[in-house]
Amino acid sequence: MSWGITDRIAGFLARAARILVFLFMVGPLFFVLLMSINPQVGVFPPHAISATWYQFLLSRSDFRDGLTVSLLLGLSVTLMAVVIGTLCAFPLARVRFMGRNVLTVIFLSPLIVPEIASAVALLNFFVLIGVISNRFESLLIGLTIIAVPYVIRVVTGSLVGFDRSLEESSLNLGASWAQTTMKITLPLIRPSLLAGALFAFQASFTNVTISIFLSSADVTPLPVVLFSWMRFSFNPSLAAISTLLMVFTTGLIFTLEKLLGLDKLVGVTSGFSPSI
Amino acid sequence: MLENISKTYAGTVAVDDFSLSVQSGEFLTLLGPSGCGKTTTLRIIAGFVSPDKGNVYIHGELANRKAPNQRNTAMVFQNYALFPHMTVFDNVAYGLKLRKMNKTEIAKRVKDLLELVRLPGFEHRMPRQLSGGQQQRVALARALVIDPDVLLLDEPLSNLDFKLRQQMRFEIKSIQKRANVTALYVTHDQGEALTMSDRVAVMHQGKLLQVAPPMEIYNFPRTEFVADFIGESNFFPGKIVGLSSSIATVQTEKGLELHAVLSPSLQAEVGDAVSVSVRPERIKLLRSPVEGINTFQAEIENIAFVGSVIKYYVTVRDHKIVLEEHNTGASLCSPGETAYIQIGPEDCFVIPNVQQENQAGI
Amino acid sequence: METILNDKRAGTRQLLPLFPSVLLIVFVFGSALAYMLSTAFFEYRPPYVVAEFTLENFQHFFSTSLYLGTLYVTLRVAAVSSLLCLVMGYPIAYGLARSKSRFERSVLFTGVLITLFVGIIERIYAWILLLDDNGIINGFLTYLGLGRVHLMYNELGIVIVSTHYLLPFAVFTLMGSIGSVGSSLEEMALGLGASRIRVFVDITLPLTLPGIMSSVLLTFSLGVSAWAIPMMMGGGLVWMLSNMVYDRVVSTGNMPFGSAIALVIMLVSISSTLLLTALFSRKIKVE
Repeated sequence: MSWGITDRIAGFLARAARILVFLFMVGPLFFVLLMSINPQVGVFPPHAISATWYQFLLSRSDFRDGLTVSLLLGLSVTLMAVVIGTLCAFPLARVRFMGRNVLTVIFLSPLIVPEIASAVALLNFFVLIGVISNRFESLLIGLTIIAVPYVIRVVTGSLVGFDRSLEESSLNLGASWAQTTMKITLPLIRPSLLAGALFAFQASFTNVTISIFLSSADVTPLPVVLFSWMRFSFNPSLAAISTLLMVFTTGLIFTLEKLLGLDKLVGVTSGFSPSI
Repeated sequence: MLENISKTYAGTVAVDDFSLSVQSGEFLTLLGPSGCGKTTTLRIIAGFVSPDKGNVYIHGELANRKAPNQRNTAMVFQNYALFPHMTVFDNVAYGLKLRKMNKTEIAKRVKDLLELVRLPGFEHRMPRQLSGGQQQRVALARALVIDPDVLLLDEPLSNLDFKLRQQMRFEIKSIQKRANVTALYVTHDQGEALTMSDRVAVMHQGKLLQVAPPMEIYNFPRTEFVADFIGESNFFPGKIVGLSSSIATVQTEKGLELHAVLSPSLQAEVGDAVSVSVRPERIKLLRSPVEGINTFQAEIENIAFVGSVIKYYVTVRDHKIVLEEHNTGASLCSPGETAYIQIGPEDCFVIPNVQQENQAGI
Repeated sequence: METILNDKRAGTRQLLPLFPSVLLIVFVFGSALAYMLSTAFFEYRPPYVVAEFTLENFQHFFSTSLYLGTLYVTLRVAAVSSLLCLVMGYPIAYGLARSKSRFERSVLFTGVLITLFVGIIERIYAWILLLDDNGIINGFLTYLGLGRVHLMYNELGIVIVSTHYLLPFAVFTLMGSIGSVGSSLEEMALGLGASRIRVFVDITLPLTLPGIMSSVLLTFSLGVSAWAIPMMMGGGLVWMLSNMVYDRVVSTGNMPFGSAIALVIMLVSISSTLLLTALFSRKIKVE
């Protein structure tokens, strides 16, 4: 097939645009990677490769503390979010009750409400009811609120398309509803449960806005630590941690892709509402 | 196993005043077009749908209130519904494990049943590795292994290709006979119904129209719908103008007079509006006129060659008639020609008109 | 749970699993939001918040040029970012939806997804490295003898970083729309002799218009809520609504006013989301 001249130019331009935009998206991250292995500050391109900044990172106690807090928080939030989200996904996906649509919107609202508003509201509220002294708990609650909608989205998605004749068959053979759910339904939606867990973890581990508002000197999640580093002690160890986090995130993505497959992943991620 | 007047609604009436008695060990088919309520009836028996009115009895016990996992029925689904994350063994053993059988017992029973369905040694395969027919058989094994009171089959063969379907008909029937279990089979395919069943129950729009052994259903259809649904039929609507012993003389609007057999269970009088039903293969095509009743002159409109059979589309006094002749190699007539048809009165059946179908009963 | 599967009625037992979420989201989150929203109508007499109804927060906001200016900046930045996202995101979305090469699609998709998943802090850091007066870009320009460009602490910097952050959303939204149009229409037009440009203008563009609209609205409403980006990239020189909230609440303790601003943000953001939803449901009805 031989294209006309305008068509070829058009095709070329489109391709060029794609590449350029792609570089725009991924490029900056690549630079961070480079800077993290550059032992000399402010010199670009790096003259040498070294792990200086990584070592520096590990030596800092606020980094270690922040990481611990974030991991603890991340795991707890994930656990709670998966349980709560999966529980309510079942009625939402299957039972036609009055107000279901409204309730679904309400459940997904933490994704829609601007995070700054949620953060201020939660801070205010926790102060009001006197919870704020327990920083870890308030962070836990706040981040779970953000994480649950992701789980709900993923799990309801897979429940809606679920082949119910499998459950009917199980009942028919004598199993109770509880047994059917445990032996048949849950094992079969396991990929979505895992994906929901990963989304929830990512949402809480990298969360900035709510974390900042609800954290304190004692309980400081990693993003908050990084935030203050950015403002007050800007040095390349930030590059190191950024690279680490990027690698970690990439790993998460590949796991998700394995679990859900390309297209389903897209459908779910388009519901993301981040903290910016 | 009994099942009495059960009636459901689902917005529209799905099953209407349906009563049926099924014998132990019997293979009974619910036959009808899509939407006639047969699957709903099956699900009522299984317990997935609860009837608005009426009762379901299994082994003489009232089963209405029992949940689907408390009745001893076993269902084979249209899409087999094999648990995709379990091996064949686990699938079949599922019901047994729930009943807390011990391991060796379970292993033995599963093995026996896999042999029954002719899939020995398949224990460790996964459903996705099996062909349609094999999955079908595993589903059967899974249902039979728990020794159900009734085996319920919901159009199990509709997902298979033609040849396989033919094969599986006999498989299922023979498995059922060997296991000696009562089976209730649902399908819209009359071929299946007629070849497999001890009795066929024809349903239409939620109502039971006729239940009888296959031969009887085919040869003595009670209503127009049954006659039309099963096999092909020619219909001649008209009025009874004469009655004598078991023969009625029916005159159609277009002046055709037919002598037809009257079924003894039918109460008919002169003047009743009825239809006469004639199977195409019962009509004889003749080149030259012949003496006798039910002999008419016919115009040949069209001929269709359907392999083992030749169909002739003829017109007799403005009635469009289809008749079938075996393909003997010799072509009898051609379109445009005039010929003669003769129908034995024993091959014509009087059927009440549509409005009177309700009285058909069982 | 119910034993009868086909019954459409809802027994109360079936709704039980909803309870934890209801507790968490409706009660905790809902109350928090409600409380904050009501605070917006309270009076602030430092250092106390007095629970008397007043509209002075809003009056103050809308009558002061500082705040109105901030509102204006916020809207402007968000609008520019979304448009840029549209222009830049479309080629990528098109490639993802139409490309025949599995490799290309995987690469594009992974790239977009990584950009999406990486935390905001790291991305801002990356951009600071690039955009700072002593950063990589300026270093490069200086090396070429071209002088410096100021890309930090101004609106331009914020727009660049916002665009970068919002790009994945634009891509995914557009991708869905382009995918649903289907390449057969385009192929048919090509077969009829139209040039690729014609095909794009006459067929692809109009049909993906709903997707374009939702993409713009989505990125706009997200852009309006931006907080971390203006905080870091604005450096105190550029103010957007979100960091205004932060400042008023954290530095001054003026919760009512902060809540009022937050309310304004919510209104702008949610109304554009609602617009999006309304458009979508119309689209579904049409199909």
